[in-house]
Amino acid sequence: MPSRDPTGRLAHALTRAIVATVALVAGVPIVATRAQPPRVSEPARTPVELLFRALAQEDSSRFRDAAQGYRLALDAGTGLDADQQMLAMLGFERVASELGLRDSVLAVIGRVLTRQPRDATAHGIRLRTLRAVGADAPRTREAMAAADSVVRAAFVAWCAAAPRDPAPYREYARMLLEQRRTARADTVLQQGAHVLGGLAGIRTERAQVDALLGHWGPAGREWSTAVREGPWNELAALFSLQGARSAGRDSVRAAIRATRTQTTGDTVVVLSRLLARLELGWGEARGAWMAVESLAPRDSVVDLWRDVAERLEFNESWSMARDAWARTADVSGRTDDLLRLSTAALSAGDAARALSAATTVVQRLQSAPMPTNASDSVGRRAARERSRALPLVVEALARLGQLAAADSVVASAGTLDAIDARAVQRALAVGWLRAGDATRAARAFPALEEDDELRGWHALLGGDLAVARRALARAGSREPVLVAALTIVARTPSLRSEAIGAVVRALSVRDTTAILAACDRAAAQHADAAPALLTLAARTAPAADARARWRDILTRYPTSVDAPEAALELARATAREGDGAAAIPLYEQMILNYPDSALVPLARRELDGLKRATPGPGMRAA
Amino acid sequence: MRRTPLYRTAITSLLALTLASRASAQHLLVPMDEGQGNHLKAYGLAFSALKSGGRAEWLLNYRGGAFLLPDIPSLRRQATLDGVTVDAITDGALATARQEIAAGNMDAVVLERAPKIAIYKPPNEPPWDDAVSLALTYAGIDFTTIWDDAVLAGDLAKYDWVHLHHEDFTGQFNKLHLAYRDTPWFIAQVRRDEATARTHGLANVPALKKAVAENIRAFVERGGFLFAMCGATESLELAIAGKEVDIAGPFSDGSPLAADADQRMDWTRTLAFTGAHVEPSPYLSALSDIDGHQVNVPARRQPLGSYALREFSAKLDPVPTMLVQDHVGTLRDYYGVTTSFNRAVLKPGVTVLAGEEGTPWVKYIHGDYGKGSWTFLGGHDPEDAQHAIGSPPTDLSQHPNSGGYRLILNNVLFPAAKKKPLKT
Repeated sequence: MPSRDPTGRLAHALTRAIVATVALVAGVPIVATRAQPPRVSEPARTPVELLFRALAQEDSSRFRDAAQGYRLALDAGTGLDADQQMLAMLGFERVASELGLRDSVLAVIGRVLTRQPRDATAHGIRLRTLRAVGADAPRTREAMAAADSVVRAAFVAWCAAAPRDPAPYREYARMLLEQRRTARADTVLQQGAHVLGGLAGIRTERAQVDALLGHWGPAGREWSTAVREGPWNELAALFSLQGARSAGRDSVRAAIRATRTQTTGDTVVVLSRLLARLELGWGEARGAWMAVESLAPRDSVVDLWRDVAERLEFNESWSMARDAWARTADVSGRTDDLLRLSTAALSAGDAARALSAATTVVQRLQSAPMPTNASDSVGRRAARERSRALPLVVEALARLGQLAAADSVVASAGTLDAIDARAVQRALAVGWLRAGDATRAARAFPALEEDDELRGWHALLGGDLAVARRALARAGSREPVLVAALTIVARTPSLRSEAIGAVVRALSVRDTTAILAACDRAAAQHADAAPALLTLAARTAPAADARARWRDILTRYPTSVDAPEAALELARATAREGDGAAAIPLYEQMILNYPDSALVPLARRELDGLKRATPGPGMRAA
Repeated sequence: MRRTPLYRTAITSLLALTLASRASAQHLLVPMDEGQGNHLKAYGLAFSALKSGGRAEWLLNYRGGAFLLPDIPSLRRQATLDGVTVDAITDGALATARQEIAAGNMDAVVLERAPKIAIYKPPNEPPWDDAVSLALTYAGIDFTTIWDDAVLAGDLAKYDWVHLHHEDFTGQFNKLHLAYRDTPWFIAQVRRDEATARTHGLANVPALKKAVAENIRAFVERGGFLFAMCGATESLELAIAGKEVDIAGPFSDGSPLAADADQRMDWTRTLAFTGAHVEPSPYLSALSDIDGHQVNVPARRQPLGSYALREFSAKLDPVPTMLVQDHVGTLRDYYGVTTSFNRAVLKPGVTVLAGEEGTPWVKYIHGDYGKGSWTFLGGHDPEDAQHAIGSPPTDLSQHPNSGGYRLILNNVLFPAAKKKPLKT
């Protein structure tokens, strides 16, 4: 029974919509026909009437009547122009397929081909129908081989009827690709290229086959040529080339660059965008930016830079995003680009660049004539830009340790709305907390008590572990200082500790010597948190000191949760000093003593590598 | 006097406590089903048990082909270090397992001693990996590498098990001169083999490799176990069948191959194949039609699919059952100079261990020859489907549960099995 499920109806409706579009483009008066629907009860007289009646019948799911109409229209032999005949053939293929009347399709299309042996639409339908008939055959090798040879014979007949036409090679290759018979598609396309004297008309199929065969150099070459010939192929090329394995990517890059050098105009931009998107997909942020960086600036190029910059931001490739926004802003001069540059630079840890970009925006706004009416769009935009720029300036200054300057920016900011004022004050407070100055942080940000993250940080600096625990548990902060501090606070029941406060202060200002001293002092006072404190110190200590510290943790606290890390780090430190033979038993002890530690798979992997690199029993030459 | 550091004392005490708490069982069962943490190193564990003089059992089809080892501290230690999952079981639990084995398509095979293993491998590292060297090194199984001089000196007699991988025994260097004739490693390879041929008084490299192939054939005939992969399978057979025929192109010996090569091949002497067609063109990177996939001939290349392992009766056909022990039944295929073997050229009596349904080729075959036996596995690297010249070697620590590599390691342990009369 033919399928009548809703999915099938939806597909049918979609097909009809596509045909209607094709018809419209081709100038077939389908809209007019709809405006005056044929009265299907009246007998149709001409092939054109039969066609449009069949279309209407198909539209109302009267497939048997529609099939009859299409067949009569096609069998009339004359009276339909080329576009109408195409519509009739495709319509008949659709409804016959719906009704399971594939043999009828072959018969009707066969008659069309007798009259017009070069008709590409008819040949295509015959090929598809023969394939569908073959797919219904029993899945034995003999039956499948027989079905294959029938389809192949139809392809050969098409080639013979239209010897210089790429369509048979293209359609047959596509069909084979759908069946995942890449090698056979390859053969067909090679034959086509030979007969046609080139790849015109079959280039995208050639490119697709090369990609599926893993011939990435040729695939890159053909796809980039296809994009040059038709920029609409860009997405298909992207999809196909994205699968290139790392070993084949250089050849794809080289092919696209080579094609780009032979290209002018906007196609250069399209090819560059293709390469940049491939690089992004391959996780090569630098490559993505380099693919477009050197293009001569013009509007379409600046748009492309902006697109790449946004994608780099999305991938959190902040350094590259900063470079992309910097180039974009240099050329465009747009305030929005400068602000994006400042944000990306801050995320990349480049506070100086962030400060420079945000300051430029602030200065530009200050030097611009004040809008006469603050409620007009220019005024609103200027206010918005200023409120975006000021927190960036303050945060950049705070990161650079220029807290006094940040203070003065906040003081001179003038009237800001509550949300903007809060953002600026918070940025300054974070700066003071990073400087270990809890008092000035609280002064800079009056709403600090309402902000769990900063409140917790502030409490830690003062040694108030009870408040810190409550606030930071809610905050879910990813700030490294707070993450490190929380692991210590969680290990002690104390409500208050000046010693742990000193550790957090040292962590905040990133003073290695102070961290080590503070951790040692705090460990002496808090036996329960001592392994965590000593582990923090060992992580921070210079290599020469760290090894002794890891050993000390292992000796004093062999059953603590920190011991596996200490054992692994001790082994690593020994390996790093080049003493593989001594490191191997240390790795083994780590695995044997802490077999349930999450670090064990890592230790096993490193031990394997060390054993491979260290001479010992195993492989020997005769 | 040297003092033991305090931390070592602390750790030793901890270890002693840990081991003491576990030391109550009599056997270690090494499951090889999905619950195994590191399938590949489990073979190394079994090998270690045999190497130390212990007795092991291979429980065919039981929990993925589990191993039963003695519960001794050194094996527990190695299992922990290697991440191999082991279950300590008592005699009672073992008796229950044996009942289950007796009732189903399962059997227990005793492994007697660690086989002496040799890998036929060039002395300088070629720019491609060797799956067996990788597998044995990763699993921690000892092996010796041998090369032409050792083979011609009769050293094969010292080993139970010999592995061949990528070598072209027709002496045509896998026709790599088509693409690599100017690369330093290829030039060095040609010079090395030509010098070896001269040393042994042989006219050229094809003559050298045929002499090596003949020694390998004799090794199997006398009772040796041969495991070959990739191009070594096809080229060994061509070299044996073509012992008296010029089947090498002009690049190797300066003369075209014999026009009537196909007719003059003596397939009665080969292990696995018969009636194959020798590829006459020196410009096509294929040796014959034995390989079903022809990866290096673009117009003939066939796409990769998946191959399924056959099931055998563990009690009636223990040898093929051993060779297909795996925790997965279907594996993704992978290319090699020889990827697969056309069914049409298999000798009668060859056991097909794995193949791709609906295709004219098979992947994994086995047979007896004289007093010995052989196993051929097509393809180059089970975890790198398109391993190319210059690709980095596969890091097996990323594939500790590789079903493809397990097939290789099955072959390593197979010669350790105590022979018992076959019922079929």
